Amino acid sequence: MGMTMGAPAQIVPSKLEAVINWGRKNSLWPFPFATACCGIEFMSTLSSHYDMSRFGAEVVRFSPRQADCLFVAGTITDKQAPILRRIYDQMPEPKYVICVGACAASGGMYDAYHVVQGIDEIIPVDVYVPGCPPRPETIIQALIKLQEKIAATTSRTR
Amino acid sequence: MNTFQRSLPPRPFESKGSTHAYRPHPGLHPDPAGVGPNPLEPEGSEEERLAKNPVLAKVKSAFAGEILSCRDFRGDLTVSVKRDKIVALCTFLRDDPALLFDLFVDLCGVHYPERSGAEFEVVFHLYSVKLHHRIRVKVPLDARDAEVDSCHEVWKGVNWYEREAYDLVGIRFRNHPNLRRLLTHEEFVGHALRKDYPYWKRHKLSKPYPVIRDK
Repeated sequence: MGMTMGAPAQIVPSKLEAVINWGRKNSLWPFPFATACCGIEFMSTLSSHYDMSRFGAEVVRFSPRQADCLFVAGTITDKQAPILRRIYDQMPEPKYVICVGACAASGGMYDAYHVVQGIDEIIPVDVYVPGCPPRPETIIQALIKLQEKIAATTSRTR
Repeated sequence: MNTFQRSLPPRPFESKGSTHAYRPHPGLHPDPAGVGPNPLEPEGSEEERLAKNPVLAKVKSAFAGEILSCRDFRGDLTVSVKRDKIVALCTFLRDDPALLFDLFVDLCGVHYPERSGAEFEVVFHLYSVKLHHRIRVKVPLDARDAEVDSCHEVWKGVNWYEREAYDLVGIRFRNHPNLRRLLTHEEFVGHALRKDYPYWKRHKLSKPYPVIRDK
């Protein structure tokens, strides 16, 4: 008590926007849409060794209505594309999409009759992660990139 | 040989006087002579092996005029049969006490665009768990009438394999209980594993379909 009595008033001037962005970027709730080996790397990213909770994004929700960051990890076939679109539509705003791995980004090695050649055909993507599959460090870097993107968001750019 | 390898103790087959039975893989060995008979090359010519094959003898005695051709490739028996007789032959292969092909392994459709009059083929792979022998049964089909009787009543597992062959190659199976596409989606046009299908040609699906539904 004696410490606060003598200290000057602790006031940090800021903008409301910056405070909201700060809260959003440090509390992302991922939804894993994992269809292939990238999903295994994503699980490893979440678990203790790589520990995505250091960045505030460890609480994985398996309902799109409770999540705001969609991780698309793996090959998306034409048969699955409408399902992915419906899950994206069910997520509340603000929502973000991280596209994990070569298959989700471009179809990967499946240049074929049944695979979506990049999920940006169906849904907008915020961050692409290269790799086949990407290492957990890469996925964490994508999350940091997304946080930077959220922090730079203004009401005009949203 | 580098220093690291030299520092290792000799492997069992290198040391003299070892009783360790080491036999290199015949395909990898520079001198296959001296390592015993090659298991990939059974003895005798193809005709000789066919002549003494008990499974083939049994099949030929029951379906004398219905067998189109038979082959023995490295000890594996293949029989081509007329399409009208496929259900009868499969039932015979399953039930005959000397054959007992109780395990249905695989069914696939094949497209041979260059073979005029027999552009399609349905291939069965069968195995007998009790008697440990295998057979491959082929049914050549004309592209103008690529239809064959369904064998789903002989082995239950045939059901989905026939759906797959219908989906990807476009062979129709008469009397199949549920001949719908299995792997590609409902709005797909054409049959993707036909040789004249452009491999990159996609068909986008407009809405999700329920996985389980009535026929």
